[in-house]
Amino acid sequence: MRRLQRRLGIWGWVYGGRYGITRWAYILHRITGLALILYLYAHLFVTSLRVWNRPAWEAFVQFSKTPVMQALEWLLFLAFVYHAVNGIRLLLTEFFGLTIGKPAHPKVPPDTSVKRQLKWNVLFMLVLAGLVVLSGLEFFFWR
Amino acid sequence: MRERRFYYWFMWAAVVLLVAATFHMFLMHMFKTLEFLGVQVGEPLEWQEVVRRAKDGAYLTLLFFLLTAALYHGTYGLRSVLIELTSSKKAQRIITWALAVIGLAAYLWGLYFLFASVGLRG
Repeated sequence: MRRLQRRLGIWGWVYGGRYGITRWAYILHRITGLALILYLYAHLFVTSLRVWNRPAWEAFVQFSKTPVMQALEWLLFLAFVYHAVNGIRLLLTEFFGLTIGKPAHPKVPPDTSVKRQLKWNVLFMLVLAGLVVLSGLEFFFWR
Repeated sequence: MRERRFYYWFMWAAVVLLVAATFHMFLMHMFKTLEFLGVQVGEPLEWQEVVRRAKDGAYLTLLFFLLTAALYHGTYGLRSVLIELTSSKKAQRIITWALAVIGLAAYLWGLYFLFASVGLRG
């Protein structure tokens, strides 16, 4: 019984299957969340260096200006942007019931909540795309 | 009941994070965009700018809320992800307590250096 309950393991985290776009949004939300929390612990350590080891902090700042680190910083920013924008969508949906519409009589073909959320999902993706482009300009052209 | 309370804190921490982390991320990573919009923030990793921010009460308050909310939200989220891997109650309890200790240690570390950085000199 115990084996059956956990038979998917890590695959269960990342398998989108036939659940559609919201399931993939959830998987990406989880991956970006993991990246952000791992970064946060490392970030706490690095920023504390400026108090107890300023030369090491300054060396890290120089290192962070290399192209590879700039690209990683951009990826981190994208992870934050995605996690935040999708988080707003989840808050609106789960806490306030927004974006899923009012209860209605069943009809054929069925009008699922996923279908009703589609235009909102598109709107969130457009906001996301705008921030991806803007941050790309900032990280790779304006600095 | 306790689990539900933790979950509510997790969600409220998300709301705090939306404000605090957005400010922080834009100030630190999107400063050219802010300059374009007329907000002068300077080069965030220049030492003078670091010292100025460290002594700014409003920014310290923002960082305090950011540290608190981010560590709680992130560590609780990590716990949720990890405890799904096992159905053993004992293993889940170990994960919970291990992350609580690591999270609290990181919080104290962060708080100490947040307030210690007020004494930085330019």
